[in-house]
Order: sequence, then structure tokens, then C-alpha cells
Amino acid sequence: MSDPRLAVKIGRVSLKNPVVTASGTFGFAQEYNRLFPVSALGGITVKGLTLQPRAGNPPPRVVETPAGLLNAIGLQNPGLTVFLEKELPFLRELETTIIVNIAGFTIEEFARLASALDRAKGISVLELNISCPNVKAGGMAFGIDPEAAARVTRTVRAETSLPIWVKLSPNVTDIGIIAQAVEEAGAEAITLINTLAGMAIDLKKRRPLLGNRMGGLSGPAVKPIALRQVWQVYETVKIPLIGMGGISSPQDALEFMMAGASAVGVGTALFHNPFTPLNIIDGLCSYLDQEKIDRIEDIIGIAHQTG
Amino acid sequence: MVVETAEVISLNGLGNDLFHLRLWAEKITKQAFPGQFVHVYCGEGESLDPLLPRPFSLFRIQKEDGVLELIFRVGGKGTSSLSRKVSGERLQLLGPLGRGFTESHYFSRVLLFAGGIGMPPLYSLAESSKGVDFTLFYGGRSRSDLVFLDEWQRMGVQLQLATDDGSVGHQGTLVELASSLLLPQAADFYYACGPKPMLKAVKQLMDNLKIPGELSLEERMACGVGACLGCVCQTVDGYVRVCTEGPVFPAEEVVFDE
Repeated sequence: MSDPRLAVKIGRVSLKNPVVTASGTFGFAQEYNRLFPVSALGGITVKGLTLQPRAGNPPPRVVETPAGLLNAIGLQNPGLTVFLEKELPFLRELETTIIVNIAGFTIEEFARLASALDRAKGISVLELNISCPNVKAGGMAFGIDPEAAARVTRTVRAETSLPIWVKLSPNVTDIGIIAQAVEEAGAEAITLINTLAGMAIDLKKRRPLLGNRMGGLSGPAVKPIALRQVWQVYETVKIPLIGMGGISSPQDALEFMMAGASAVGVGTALFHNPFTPLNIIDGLCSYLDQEKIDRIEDIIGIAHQTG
Repeated sequence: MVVETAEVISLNGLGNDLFHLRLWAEKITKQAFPGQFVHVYCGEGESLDPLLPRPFSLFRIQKEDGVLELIFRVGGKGTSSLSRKVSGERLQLLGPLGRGFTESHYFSRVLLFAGGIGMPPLYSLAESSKGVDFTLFYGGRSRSDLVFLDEWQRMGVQLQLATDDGSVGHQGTLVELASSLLLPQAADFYYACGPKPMLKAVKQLMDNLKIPGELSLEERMACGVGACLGCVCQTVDGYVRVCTEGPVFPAEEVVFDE
């Protein structure tokens, strides 16, 4: 049983605790379920799903950087039909909130994904991936233009009654403008941040190291940037935020919540220690004990208070 | 697959940046098979750098006493940190991971191809098989790349060595050496582990000699459990995960780029 003090509300969605997985780092949950009961998590965000199966980018797809990870997976996934037949039945049985991350290459694809998933059972949230840096068409293109971001959100809104969270790219001049645009278009929460565009060069080959040349940076290295963007978006919108980017410890999670996140995502830190999300849940309980706080929700955005 | 706190029994330098690590890791050792691998968390204490664990194949799997032995070459931050561990120190391991070799006792004459640091998994394979006639083609840049030769000999394995500089064995690649010695159907099966260009050449030679076999592949890896899709290789079925469907693949499934 989850400690009731850790429950949080993300609009219409109740999470039993504020720790969810970040899309793309947790597959469809079956792999990590061999190491720990994944139902202990507040929510599980599955690997980005596209209408058609996708092969992804050529290897190498990952490279470690100082306290960080560059990846260029390229949204490899089995596509909507296989997801519904092979992956959703397992996810549906889990006693946690299932967040399905969807990625369209056109607005039409977003609409078709949303309408198909709206009819499926066992899904609590659709997270719109308008921020993947590793695909050529669509992907981040929707997430760096406020009008395109709003259009995707409105289109999905019309296709489903499921709660819609929109995952934003940090690779923009002013993330607040994008956040406002998707809020006005019907987003019920904002997930941030996706990875930061980056790259590495292979000195021996004198060529880009990643098969896709460029990739997305995640891990502890990006945490201060993610935290700053959560802070900024909290000041510009009213809808709740799911903060992520380098979160590896209970202290990191608390920082994000104090900056305005109602929940936090754990991704790359899973690879450093698969039990990181559980350690964060435990650490949040200890924090409430130590500080004599009744509910974790009381600290959301507290760093913005003046005086 | 479990996360286990292992204890360092010994860590010996073998020269040439190679190290031999003996670990007490009872749970993982009990479950492990030749050709599988373990993820080793190499960082110091709470440090987030290096961030990722390092995958290592299994050199010896001593099931009775729970001892796992690895050989690694220092190449970066993770392995450099690992090379400074001392006896009694604890290390987090995740494993055993991936799919290992087909057991070799189905065959009577078996060829092994080891390129440099690709040798360890072939050793645990040979050690676990009784009554198989093994020949090992072992190649490296120089004599100091070829380790545990006495132990290989003691197992009764026939050795064929090749070095780039000719400091021991044939001067040139192990594939050149093998192609000069082997006849069609000279063996029932082969196993190979080493750098990609070597694996590609071995597969080509074995195809010509009509000998089936398995290749153990390596790719840059993150999660190690099949969740992140970071470590794929190209096969006849498209991109598949080295950490989960591999690291050992039937040779006929692997596609090498030109």
C-alpha cells in the first residue's frame, strides 16, 4: 500500500504517489517488472507509440557523457495494433496509472492514435509527444511552434475524452509560450522536459558517434535546466506539471516539486540504479516525517512564495 | 535476473590494461550460463558519474562456490574506476542478462574464435563442456593481448594463435590463419566473440566452409534489460536488442553493414 500522504491530483487524474516513469526508459513495463513490482509506482509512462511500427535509428543509439546520456533511438516501437494486442493486456492489470505516450508524424496520425486509444480499456492518460528530437518529420517540429503545438492538442482533444498531457521540448527560446498555447488548446497537464538536442564525435572515425548524428541528452547533467524550465512554466500556466530531467534522488524530486511540479518522472536514473523510483518514494515519505508535513501536495510550487 | 551486492575476492592486473576480477556473487552465479553477461555498476559511492553500468561477459562461472570471474580492459571512466577496486570491496551487479550460447555438448568438433577481449565467454563455454574436441583461434595485436593460454591448454583445447605483430603465433589475423588450416566441414559448429570486422570475416569463412555457428555481439548499451532499445544490432528480423535477444545470435541471423 502506498502512503496516502503521497497522493497527488493531476487535473482529473489521481496518482497514488507522485513518481512516474519517463517515456522511452521503461519499455512497456514488463522488463522492470522482473526486478520490482512496478505497481508500486504512481504511474507508468510507456514507450512512445506511433500508428505504424517503427524500426528506429541505426546504431550506435546511446553514448554516455559526463553524468549524462545521449540517445537517438528514433521511436522504435511495435505500432498501435501490436501495442493493443500484446502490451496493453499486461499494463491493464497493473494497479497503477497507465500513461500512453503517443507520437504522430502528422496531425492526422495524432488524431487516429487518440481515437483508437480512447476506445481501449486500461489507459488513464494520453501524453502527446511533440518533442522527440530524434525523428525527421513531426516529432519536435510540433513542439517548437506554439500554433502547431496548439493544433495537435486541439485535434486530440476532439478525438478523446481521456486526460491529455503534453510533453514539451526544452529546445525552444521561450518554453512558456508553448506551454500557454497547449493550455489554451485543452491540455490538462504539461510534462517537461524531453531531452536536450546534443551530439558527440568519434575521434577515431572523425564522424558523429551516434548513428543518427544528433541525439537527445538526459540524466543528471540536464537537471538544472529542467528545473529552471519547470519553474518558468509554473509561472505561466495554471494546469499541473509533471517535472522530469535528471531526477535521481528524493532530493531532486523535492526540488522539482518545490519549483512547481505536481509529479516527477524518473528516466535515465533507472539505468544507474533500477530501484531509483522506489528510493524516491521512500525518501519522500521520510521527508514528510522529518518536516512534519501532512501531504506532499503542500510543497508543490512552495519555492515561488515570497516573504 | 537479480540485483546483487557482490564482494571483490581479488583483482589482478594481467598487463596491457587487462584485469582479472574474481567476485563472490552467489545468486547471479547460480543462474548464469556461458555467453550471458552482467552489468557492473562501476562508480564510487553515490557518484552519478560514470552514470551507466558496464556490461561484461562471464569468464568463469563457478556454480559450487558462487564465484564469478570477469576479464576487462580499461578503456574509459567506468573500467578505470573498476580497476581500482580492492579485495573485500562491494560492487552492485545486475544479471545474469541476455541469451547465452547454445550448449556445445551437442557437437563433437567445435571451433572457437576469440578476438582480444572477446575471449572470456568462450572460456566459460569450453569449461562447461565435457567430451567436446575444441580448437581455439585466438588473435590480438600482440602477445600481451592473449591471456590465460596455460589454462586453455590445461583444458585440452588445441590453440591456434595469431598476432598483428607476429610476437606469438601466426603474423596476421586469426581469420587468415583459420582459412589456411581449415577444410570444409572441419567442425560441427563454431562460436565467435570479438570486434565486428573479425566477426564478419569469421562468418564469411565459416559460410564458405559450410559450418554453422553463433556470434556474440557487443553494442553500446544503457539499461541492459531490454527497456530502452539503445543497444540494437541489425539482423534478418530488423533491429533487435543485443541485451535481450542477444548478445549471442545464430550467425545466419546477423547482418553486417558494408
